[in-house]
Amino acid sequence: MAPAKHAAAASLALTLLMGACDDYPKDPKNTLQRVSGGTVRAGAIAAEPWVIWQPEGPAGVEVELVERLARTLDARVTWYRGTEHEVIDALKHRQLDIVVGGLTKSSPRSSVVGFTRPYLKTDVVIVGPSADAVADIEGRDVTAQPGTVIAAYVQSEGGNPVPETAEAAPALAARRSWRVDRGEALMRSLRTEQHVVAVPPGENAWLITVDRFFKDEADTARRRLRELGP
Amino acid sequence: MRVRAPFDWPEDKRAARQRAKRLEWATLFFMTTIVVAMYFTLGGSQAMKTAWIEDLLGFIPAILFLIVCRVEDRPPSHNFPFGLYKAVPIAYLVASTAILGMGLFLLYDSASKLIMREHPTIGLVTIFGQDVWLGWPMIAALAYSVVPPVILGRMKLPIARDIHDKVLLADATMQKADWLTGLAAIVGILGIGFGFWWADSVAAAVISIDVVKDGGTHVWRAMRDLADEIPHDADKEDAPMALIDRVCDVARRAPWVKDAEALLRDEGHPVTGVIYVEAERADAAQLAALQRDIENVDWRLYQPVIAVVPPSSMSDTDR
Repeated sequence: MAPAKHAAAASLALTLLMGACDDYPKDPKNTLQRVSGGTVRAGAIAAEPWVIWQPEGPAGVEVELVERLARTLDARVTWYRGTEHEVIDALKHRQLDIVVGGLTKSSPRSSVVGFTRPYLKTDVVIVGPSADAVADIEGRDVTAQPGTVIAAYVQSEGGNPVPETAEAAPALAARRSWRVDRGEALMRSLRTEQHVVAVPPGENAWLITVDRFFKDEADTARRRLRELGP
Repeated sequence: MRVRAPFDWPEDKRAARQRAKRLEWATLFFMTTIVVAMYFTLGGSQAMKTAWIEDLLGFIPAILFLIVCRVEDRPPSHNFPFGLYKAVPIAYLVASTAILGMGLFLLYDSASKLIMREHPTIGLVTIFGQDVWLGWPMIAALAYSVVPPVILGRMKLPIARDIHDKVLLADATMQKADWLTGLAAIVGILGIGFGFWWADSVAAAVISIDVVKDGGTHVWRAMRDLADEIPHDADKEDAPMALIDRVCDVARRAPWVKDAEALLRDEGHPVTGVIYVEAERADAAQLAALQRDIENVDWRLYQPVIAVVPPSSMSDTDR
């Protein structure tokens, strides 16, 4: 048994050495190689401001980042629009190469396709004049567009969402974190979202490329959110 | 109502048993560190998950051994006049059934992932501010996971044979073979890195087949034990103990004994049973002396009962 064990150890060491090279890990279906200098088939889920679908094509924070990624790989992007279910399914069957549109780490889709690590964190926050005011909003008026999910968050804590108007604005407001100035009054997070991008399952080299790119461009994303975001 | 006197452990066997207990506590400690280390690197790999579950299974024999030692030490009582020595083969059956069941589930899990052609996704993690492919920390955790079980397994094996403890023996042999599990899982992850998505499920299937084989073997042995099979050596499964012959030889040496036959069974650690001696007559003193002589044949013999039968009533079969 001893010589077999030595052989096993030696081949293991050799494989580890080879693995430490640049071209590792690989894609089972060679996605990264194929899109480099080729075409990226990108799926877009309508979700402002990440993806904004317009007649002439999609725009939005994540759309722009995908276009930039493609440029670094000397590739074009062909955009496909659909519901989350449709594009994720297409991604799972490798009919698409990447999907963006406000996907978050907690999404149940993470078990069927590959997710990058979160490249950006955003919140829905309550902004107010003092720590006490912000901590308990029960029965208080809070500026939040009625009929939106933010209004629902406010109502779940007992607050009363009111539309945003120029005159007589309430002291408390519920906003997305990119609409809040750093230096503005005290804030408390109602919900946190960790944003990710999806790739076909198992395409690990492609995943690493996308992951690294989006992480590096996080500051650009933040800036564009402030410029584009509602 | 008669209650048996407790089984007497010889000093050296008692010391070995104590040593085994200490080794099992050490096992529990190291297995905990392994399971925690692997938990943090569990990603999309089926092989990794299977190896992790197999390591979790390793807790069962260790914990059972420690519990059973406690239970066994309770002296025979009114409710349990034979004592609680059967706890050992019962624990052996419970442990092996759990292992077999888990192995079958893992095999089903890996096979279905292979059939469904699931490609494992293994991306990046941040370790101390560096971007690292998750496969590397997985491999590191697996490499670590192999070392303590193999070392502890080798230390426990001779003790298990010495004190004839089947639970400890099952535990030690499984742990000693753990290097196969770690190697298979590492190969699976390296395979994923090379783009062979199937390497992972195949490695997981290999590991689960190993678990099923272990579980199945031990379930079979445990059931035979509980069915009062003729006592065997702990791991030489096809060699019925020479014990029966030695006992009969000692019995026949007594001048008042014409012939002897033994009907023995394994109660876990102790071996007990009935020795049928052919004699015209026997008095209490002779019987007591013979019982002592027979008990001295082997440390495991425990309160054998001598039954005197009239001469020429023993069958000629099965000498």
